[in-house]
Amino acid sequence: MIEIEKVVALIKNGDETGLKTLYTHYNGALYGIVNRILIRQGESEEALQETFLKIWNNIDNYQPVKGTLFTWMATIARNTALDKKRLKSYEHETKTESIVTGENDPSVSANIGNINIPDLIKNIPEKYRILVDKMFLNGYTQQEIADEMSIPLGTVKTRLREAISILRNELKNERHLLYVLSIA
Amino acid sequence: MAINIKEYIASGILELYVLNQLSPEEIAEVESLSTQHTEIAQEIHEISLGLEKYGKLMAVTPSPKVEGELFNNLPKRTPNNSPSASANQTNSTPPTKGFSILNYILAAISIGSFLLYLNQTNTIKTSEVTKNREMVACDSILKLQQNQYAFIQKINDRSNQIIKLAATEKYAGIDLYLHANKVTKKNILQMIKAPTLSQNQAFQLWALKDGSAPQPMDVFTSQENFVDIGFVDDVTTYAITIEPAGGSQSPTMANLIGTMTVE
Repeated sequence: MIEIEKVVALIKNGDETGLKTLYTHYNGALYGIVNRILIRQGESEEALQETFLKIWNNIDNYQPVKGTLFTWMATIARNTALDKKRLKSYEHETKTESIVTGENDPSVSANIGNINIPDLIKNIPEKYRILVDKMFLNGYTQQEIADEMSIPLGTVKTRLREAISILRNELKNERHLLYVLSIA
Repeated sequence: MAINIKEYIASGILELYVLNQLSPEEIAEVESLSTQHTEIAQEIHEISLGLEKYGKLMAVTPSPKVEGELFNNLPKRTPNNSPSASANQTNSTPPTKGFSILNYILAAISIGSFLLYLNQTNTIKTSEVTKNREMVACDSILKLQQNQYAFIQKINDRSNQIIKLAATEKYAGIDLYLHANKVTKKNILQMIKAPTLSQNQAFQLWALKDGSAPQPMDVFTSQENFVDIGFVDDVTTYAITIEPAGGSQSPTMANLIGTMTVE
């Protein structure tokens, strides 16, 4: 497991190796987010670069007490992609487009060794997984989800809680393996 | 504030906090409670870890060129000014023989007070630097968002007419749009796919009016997606060409990218 505190300290001191470590460990996960929002490869790669530049420039704003470094970086990635999407008027084109995940990407499969991704996720009921996908990966607001799924705002909140609970439970035993893989 | 922690955690507010979906007031509430209740802080951590693992499972590998471009263009970052350690060091000199015990005590109190003063000053300075940084960052983000919002409003203006470029055969596949607004008298060129310019070339816009020679307009080399361009009353068609850097007085027809006709 990478030592987040050390990496953050390196970046704060202007040492590129800190950012390189973050890039090595998180480029795929953050690219997964921006790519889900922007779809197009060129725009997604631009957004990924911008995301890491923002991390480099704004690392002083990261506060561990408010959450993990990854969720802070994921928020930057999502906002960067959403800003780009708004500016490019992609709104109607891409929200309904099919989702591109790592499942079909051979290079991703290589990164995660023998873990069977569909098996890990398939136990999460569709109605819950869609919610996490839309909010975490696609950057939807609660209101947008409520409107699109025709459910009350309060239901979005409680269903999201259940969804993340199931997800945490399903992935509970994978933590160690994933971390080991992330070192390799 | 007396709360039932279990109910608070079960409400789903912490998931929304981690997903950055709360209002500033709600964020302040969660952060205040998480400092008071370790169960809340722990739950936030666990939710974050769950999403991190999910994010990793859903990873997609970007092309290797991204890393090269990122690190080749990475700006220098000024290292942090860490609080000086000198405040914790004492340069004591041997006491003179005639020093009384009272003098030792007074000296110790003075040094202790001075160190305390230095320590507090350093803490305040560090806190001020952090606050200033945060304020500058907030101002910069606010300004950026205001600019983006103003721009989005401009692009989404209902009186805009969006005209697709009719590309010439030479430039088939080029994808440009003119957002023309006769009310505000503003034009924006949206360049989704533009031709590549060489170093000595520039794009030039032309206003075409019936019976008149093409009127030279903006000359630009920007490859940005949106470019503010000039507006001319009573123009029926705008044309865009590639010209030598600096522009031309009459269009080079061989380099005509296409035209956009305003209704």
